[in-house]
Amino acid sequence: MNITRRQLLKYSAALAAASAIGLDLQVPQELLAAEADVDKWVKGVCRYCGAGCGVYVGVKGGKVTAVKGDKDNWNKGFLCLKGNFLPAIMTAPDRAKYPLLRKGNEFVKISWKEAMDLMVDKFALAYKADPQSVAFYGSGQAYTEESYFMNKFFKGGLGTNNIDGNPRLCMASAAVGYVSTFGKDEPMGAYDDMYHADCFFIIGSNMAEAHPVIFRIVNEQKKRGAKIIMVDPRKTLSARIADLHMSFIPGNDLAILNAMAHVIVKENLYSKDYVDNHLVFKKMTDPGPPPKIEKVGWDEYVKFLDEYTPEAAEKISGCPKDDIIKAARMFAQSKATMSFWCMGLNQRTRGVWANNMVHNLHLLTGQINRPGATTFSLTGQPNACGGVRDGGLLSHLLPYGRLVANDKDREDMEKFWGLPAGRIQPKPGPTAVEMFRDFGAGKIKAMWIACTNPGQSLPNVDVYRKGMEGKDTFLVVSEAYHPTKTSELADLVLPAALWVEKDGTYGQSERRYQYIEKAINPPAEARPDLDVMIEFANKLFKALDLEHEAKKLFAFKTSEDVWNEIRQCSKGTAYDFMGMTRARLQKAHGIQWPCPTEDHPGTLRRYTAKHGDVLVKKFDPQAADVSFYGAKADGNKATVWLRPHKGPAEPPDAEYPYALTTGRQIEHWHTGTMTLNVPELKRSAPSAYVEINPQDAAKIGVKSKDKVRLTSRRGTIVLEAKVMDVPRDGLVFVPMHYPDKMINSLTNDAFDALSKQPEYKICAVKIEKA
Amino acid sequence: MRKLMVILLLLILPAAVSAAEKKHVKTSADQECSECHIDQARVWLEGAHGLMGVKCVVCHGSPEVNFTIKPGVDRCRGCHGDAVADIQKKLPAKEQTCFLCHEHHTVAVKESAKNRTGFHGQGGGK
Repeated sequence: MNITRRQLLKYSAALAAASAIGLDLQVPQELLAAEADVDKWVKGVCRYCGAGCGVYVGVKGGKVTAVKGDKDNWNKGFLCLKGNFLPAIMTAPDRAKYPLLRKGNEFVKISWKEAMDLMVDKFALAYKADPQSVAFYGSGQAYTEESYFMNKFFKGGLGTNNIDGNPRLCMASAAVGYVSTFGKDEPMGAYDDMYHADCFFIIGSNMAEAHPVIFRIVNEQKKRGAKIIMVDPRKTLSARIADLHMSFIPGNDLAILNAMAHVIVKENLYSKDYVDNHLVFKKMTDPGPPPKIEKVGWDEYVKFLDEYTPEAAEKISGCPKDDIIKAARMFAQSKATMSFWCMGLNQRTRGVWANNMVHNLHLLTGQINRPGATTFSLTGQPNACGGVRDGGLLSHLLPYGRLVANDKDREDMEKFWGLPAGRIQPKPGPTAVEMFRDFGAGKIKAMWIACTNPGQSLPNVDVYRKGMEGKDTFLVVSEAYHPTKTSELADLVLPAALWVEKDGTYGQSERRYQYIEKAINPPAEARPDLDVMIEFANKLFKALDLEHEAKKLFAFKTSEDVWNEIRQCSKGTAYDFMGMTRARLQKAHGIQWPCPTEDHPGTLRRYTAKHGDVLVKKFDPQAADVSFYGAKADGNKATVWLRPHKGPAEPPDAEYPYALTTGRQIEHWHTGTMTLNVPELKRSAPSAYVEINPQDAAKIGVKSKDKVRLTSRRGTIVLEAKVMDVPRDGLVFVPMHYPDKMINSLTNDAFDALSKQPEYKICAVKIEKA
Repeated sequence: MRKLMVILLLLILPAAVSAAEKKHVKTSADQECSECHIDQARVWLEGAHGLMGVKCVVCHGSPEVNFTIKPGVDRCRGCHGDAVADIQKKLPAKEQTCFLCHEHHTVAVKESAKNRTGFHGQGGGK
């Protein structure tokens, strides 16, 4: 419909009047983005996934009223379905506006002073009794400055490693995969590689729905002849553009990856240059902990692959051997092959192995370290990379590639933060699932959760929800919305500023850091998390008689103060982004690290001097071009791992004969706290359902729209059936977004021994008509 | 002051909200657009926008909340900001529509518009 200027002016006047009398009028959707006549356009980054699309936010009358893609950024002005409706998340009716304290089954409004005093009392009491009884659970959606501050506060200030974040649930296997293969985390390539790749190998990713703007670019490459291999047990929307779709029995793709390596070696499709000059070969002889690792030679690797013939892999995986052979040849023989994967590989009990095995294919074939040839992990959250992986907000990490278990790294950080020697604890803290287990058991007494929703997103969630309800523990939840499935369990809810209501830095999947400018004020008494964190840290230290230390550690006034310390902290590491000043980031459309000096343009491709990585010369001066300089102990060579096939922790059996997998819809993001508040998105995808293959539906005797009951060993749920030829037979799919139908009541909390990332993607269920 | 603001709000709010008039017939909340609009849905899904997951609600809104039959140019701004700005600059307010040059649902350039110059058609609208 057409909105006249008169109508818009009337609405603007109404908005101003409402605001003046303290009413927070929700902007009618029809008027959102109705007129380019905004007061200002503010540069930022999309709030949703890890693609990190550049956006401009239109502000009128102190409200976000419009959004448009940034055409000068990598996304070339495009946004996905969700991104188009970003303004609506700001004015949602369930925005948290005041601190709330639980009184029995009710929440009552209290002042910030009361909230802060109570929180300090509870944390101080717990800490004095046992320094390891306080915990923080952070997020890949928090700004880098927030995550860095909390890491410093807990690991450095309080001397506890009881700090982890939700990227443990989505990216830990990718991170450990990169570190174990290349010596350092994060992809070496960039989105720019899509424009140079002739073959895309996409495994465990439905990028058409989870990363649509990246999918758009991949699809464009088909016009110039690029080929697409899609490995997925569902015929997803992404699979529509595949030249070769390889379906397989869920959880058995490791056999396919080894069989592809088998074909590459047997058919002599490998790169002798890489094998001779850039690779070492290793196997794990004992999973530990700690795992025992042994270096082996090329011959042993070839022998290891012997058993993974395409025929053998077909028997294990159900994927036709001819497809495996074809995929291996396409992968090896293309001019440049780019791999993408996401949760389908990461959320697995062998997630790290699966990551290693994709890297193996690139290393063997030399499909790496040149334009279009790269191995690229897609990311689920907007700042999982920048804030948590890079910044080290996981219980085993310290900032910028350092480890808590490494003596020198601890010493470095203690010096950098000005701490007494021995303050940082050498033992990694509990990981996400372990932390909530400890909280439920009362080992952790006071926990603070910020910017995430584990009451819905943890696997086997009902068990951990009970723990969060504990009467003898204290749970603080900082949230932009209330109630969520987590804040409803809190003792104290702190209202948080959302997205452009505060400023900070996001780092997305291709090492691109981007500054998000503050555009509007938060509603009512909501505050930026960083302000609350700094205030709390100072007050807690005062209560602990450590005021003198607080003055030194927490002397930050603005996010820029924190950012400047972060830059210093990255200096000299493989992440070095000293050159990314706040002033540069304000002007730029993102800068990719490493970026060691202020005149450095940022690095498109790492580990290759020829293509612009200046750190090759710094860390490996003898290298002519390629150097995996993160792997110094291996002579700057990457590792090809001998990883045997291993299926899921809980495969289907006679009692639970179907495999359940969970995932995303394009309309929604994670636990739906934002997108289910957007009327258009909610109307387009209103409720949870279960996808069932037509053959299975006939066996069970159900048709679309029938109600069916899914039951796993952990929980049960009734859903509407959608009978469709998308999942392969024996597999059912349920989206993970809906708080009223929490599929995580059924999912498995078994986790990868190396990354501690849970196996959301496969568990066994039975299905019956409800 | 507060009273004055409340009166002002009561006076102008109905006029503003009436902008969001509803025209779609009543549907159940889980009814998909394609159940009735099968031809339009097929054409859309086969086109570039459908393939990229741009859903009916982007242009037409939610049937219960903010439905519109004829989407304004604002609906395209998210991805085509320059093209929308171009239209707003060059066409009178009443004529501002993407469908002057583009077909409905396929969003292909109309035959009649192929030789039109001066707009973003030379690639700026992508």
